[in-house]
Amino acid sequence: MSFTDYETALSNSLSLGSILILTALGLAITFGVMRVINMAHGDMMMLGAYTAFVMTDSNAMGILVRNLGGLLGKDWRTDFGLHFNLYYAIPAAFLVTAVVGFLLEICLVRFLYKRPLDSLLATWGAGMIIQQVVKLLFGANLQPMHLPEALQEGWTIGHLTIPRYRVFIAGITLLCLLAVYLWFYRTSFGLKIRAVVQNRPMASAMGISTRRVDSVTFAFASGLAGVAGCILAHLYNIKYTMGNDYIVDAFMVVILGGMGQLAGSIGGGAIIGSGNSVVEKLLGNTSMAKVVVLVLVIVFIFIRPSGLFASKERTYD
Amino acid sequence: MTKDAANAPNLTPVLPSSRVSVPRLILVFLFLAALFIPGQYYANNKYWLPLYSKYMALALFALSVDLVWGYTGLLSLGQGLYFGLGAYAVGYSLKLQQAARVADKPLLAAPDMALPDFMDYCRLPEVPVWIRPLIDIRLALTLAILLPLLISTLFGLVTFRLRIKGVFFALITQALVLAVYTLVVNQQPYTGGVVGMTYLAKLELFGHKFVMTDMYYLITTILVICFLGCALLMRSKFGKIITAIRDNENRVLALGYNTAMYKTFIFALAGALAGLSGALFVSAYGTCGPDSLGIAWSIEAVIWVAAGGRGTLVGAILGAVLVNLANTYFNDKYTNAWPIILGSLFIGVVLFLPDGIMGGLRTLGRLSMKTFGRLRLPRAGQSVAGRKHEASVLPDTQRPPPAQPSQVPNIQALVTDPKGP
Amino acid sequence: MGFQSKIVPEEILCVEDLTVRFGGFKAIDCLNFRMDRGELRVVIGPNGAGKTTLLDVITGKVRPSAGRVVFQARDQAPRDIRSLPEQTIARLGIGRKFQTPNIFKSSTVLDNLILSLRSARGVWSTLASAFKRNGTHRIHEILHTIGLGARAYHLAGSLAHGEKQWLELGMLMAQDPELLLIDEPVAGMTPRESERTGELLMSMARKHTLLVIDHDMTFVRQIARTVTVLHEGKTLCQGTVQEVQRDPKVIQVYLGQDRQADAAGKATASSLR
Repeated sequence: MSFTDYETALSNSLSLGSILILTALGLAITFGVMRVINMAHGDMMMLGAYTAFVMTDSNAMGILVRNLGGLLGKDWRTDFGLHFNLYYAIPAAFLVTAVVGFLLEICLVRFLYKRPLDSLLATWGAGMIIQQVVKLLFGANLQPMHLPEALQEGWTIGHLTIPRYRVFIAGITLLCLLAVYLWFYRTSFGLKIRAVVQNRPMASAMGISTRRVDSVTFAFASGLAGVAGCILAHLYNIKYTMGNDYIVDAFMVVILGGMGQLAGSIGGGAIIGSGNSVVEKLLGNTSMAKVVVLVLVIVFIFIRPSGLFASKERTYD
Repeated sequence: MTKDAANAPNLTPVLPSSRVSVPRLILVFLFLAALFIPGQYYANNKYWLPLYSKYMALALFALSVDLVWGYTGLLSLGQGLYFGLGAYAVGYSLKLQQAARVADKPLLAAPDMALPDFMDYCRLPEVPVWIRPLIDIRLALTLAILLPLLISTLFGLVTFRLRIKGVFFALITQALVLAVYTLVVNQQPYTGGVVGMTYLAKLELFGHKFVMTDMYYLITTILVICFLGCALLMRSKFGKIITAIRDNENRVLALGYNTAMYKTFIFALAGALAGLSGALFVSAYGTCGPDSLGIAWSIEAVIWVAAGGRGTLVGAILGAVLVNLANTYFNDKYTNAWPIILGSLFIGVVLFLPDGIMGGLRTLGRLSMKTFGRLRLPRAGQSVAGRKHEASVLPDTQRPPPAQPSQVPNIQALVTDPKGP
Repeated sequence: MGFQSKIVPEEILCVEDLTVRFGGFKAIDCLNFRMDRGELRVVIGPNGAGKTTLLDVITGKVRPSAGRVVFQARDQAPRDIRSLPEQTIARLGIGRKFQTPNIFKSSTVLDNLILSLRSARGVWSTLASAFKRNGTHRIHEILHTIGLGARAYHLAGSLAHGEKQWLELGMLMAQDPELLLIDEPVAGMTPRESERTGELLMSMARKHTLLVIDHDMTFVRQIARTVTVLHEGKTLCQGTVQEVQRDPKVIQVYLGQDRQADAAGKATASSLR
């Protein structure tokens, strides 16, 4: 590998790994707390990306309004557009997807506790609906996104030059991880979450509202996915099917790390993210890299079915 | 506790331990006969008849999904892999045949055989050696069944011995099919990429060309034969063990059965059936693309079975046909609405109708029998439809284990089931 | 190897220095336990004493951290079975009745018994004998004995709790293993049902070796010849029911958990009578 190959591989690893970690973290949380498999998680990512689109691209509202009008048989147009930059888009993406996640939880997911296979199917259906709605509202085209100027250049450390944006991604991910850690381990609500994870009936008997823990946790997990999507949006084009590209990878991360283990998701995300990037550089082909990594993960699962961080307890520790 | 010997049941001579209800047998045979009707009704309809042929092939695919999921309780989200393998085996054959016809060359494997258009387009110098022999349809058909059989056997042997099940199993099968999809799409010169292979020749076996009604009757006959074979298998002792594994694998192990081998067998059988269905599908459809290797396809097949009634063979066929009919109908009129309808079907079936249409019919039947005063006993080997309190019987193996008060909590269950949730 | 010298021909089961750890917790701690062929042994002990874990180890559900489990089938050489898979152990002649009725709910009563009936267990053998009707007579007998003849075609899930327990015992009878491990057979039963179950077990004990776990002292007294008391993963005491009840260590273990109420202490002691 040449010099710049190292840089590309490293920076890709950073960004892909971070995105995977963020997405997988949400999945691990949902599975750990509620024993639910959320196949709509990828679509939460997609919603985050489209939120970023609406927030930053002034054409977005026009497209949205026109399509909405078209659906209703009316001819609506607007020149109104939002011009926020990325820094505002991220919290917006979090909020929007958190709200959608909250709604999804109270309308659907809460009937599917401890039924991972049923929830898998039902949330896949929900995801299909969400995808189609977004397609109807925003069209099926790819949408390119624009980075703020400050993040567009490279950043030189010593001999290496890495695109600033990739470092930014890693930074945001670290912030989110920190937030998750603080929330789970330093707040009283986090304590409630951990109680529910370890012993749901007991936690309920002690007065903890498991309903609220579930709804809030699910919303938060979706929000994380939204942030991941928002970040991802600025790396590549966005499309209403982008969720499908990441959902399987995200689940592989969760399995690799040991189902429901948060630390495992981080480790798994880092491994799969860098694995993908490195193999991509070696093979020169993104798709083949994906194939190779998927097969390697499957083989690893065969060798060690409980994942990287298997623990005998179903807790966050 | 002791009762009269007169209370001991009278076992029928043909099939042990099950009172075969004659009315039901008649209904099933009527159903199977009805499958042939579209061949007559749409005899020269160039629009509907090929579609129905497609539906029948997909019904066979649904049977294979039902065997693995409905009967054995293993949610495989990657059955499309085996369907796809069969599809491509025959797809290559028909494509090579078509290219040979167009170039006026003999239907033989040779270094100078005619290049299919997609290979030509990608500037492949000649047909790859490993694809050449497939021009022989007999080889292709054999491979369409044997290759999926082989791969599913290998996969099953490894996976089930490791006691991988439930969510893990579902996600791994999904990852596998996605890997193969990505591979196939990526290797456009060899596979036709995302578009796949179009303009396939018509299926020709034993000198007979199968088009329109011939094709329909061929597929439907194969479907019915496979149905009968599966029905016999599932009503035999083997089938009882399979459903017992779904219900309570621990118990089956404690009785001395090597459940991994049983699961591998049924998984292999399902793989072979899926391959066959893929081969038939491509023959009827005229195009072979990677869609069936995508994750959406395999998941959708699960919903066909769920909607029709998992654990019942009739339900699998019914679900496949009805959902795909709806697909055709809505895609014609309301293309935008179809994904929303399908998604709602996923949700609806899981939440409200877990035993599908067959379950609903059975409940209706039971209710009407009750109102007419005579309580009909449930038939042996059926899934427990309509018994809401027995929801734990659903093939979702993730229901929490029954409370075992004297055990050390959590740790015990984890140690005895280290391979996953 | 050396363990041949440690197991005598009359013994069917010999557990030596067994230790089972879950994480840092020792469920079984250097346990020694032996059973003779044809014995009916009852194992009692407080919750968490390791009784069910012991069964799990014998049947192969749990791998021990240390120690040996030697099983000697009739006319066979003794074998260390601790690392064999569950189904192999079952085929060697060890059957189990689980704590909560562990039957096939969506199969009929008859199917439950057919599946349990002694037969070749391999896939190909099963396929070959798909529709053979061996053992019908035996199944009739068992149905008769457990009193479920009229419910033969009913789904097992629709049985009452006590009936499910009996069905599971019927399945064990059909399986016909040499060593039967029975975990709390009378949990949730009425006294009358318990008595009947006891009769059933004792008749099974005539031709098999039984290891029964239970808490119900009335039941234990009905069936037990020898009782082993487990506590914290070790054997505490062994003997007849009377001997065990009088043993000071046993009293301490059962009463020691109830130190506050002295009056209640008398009441708890009477629960041992």
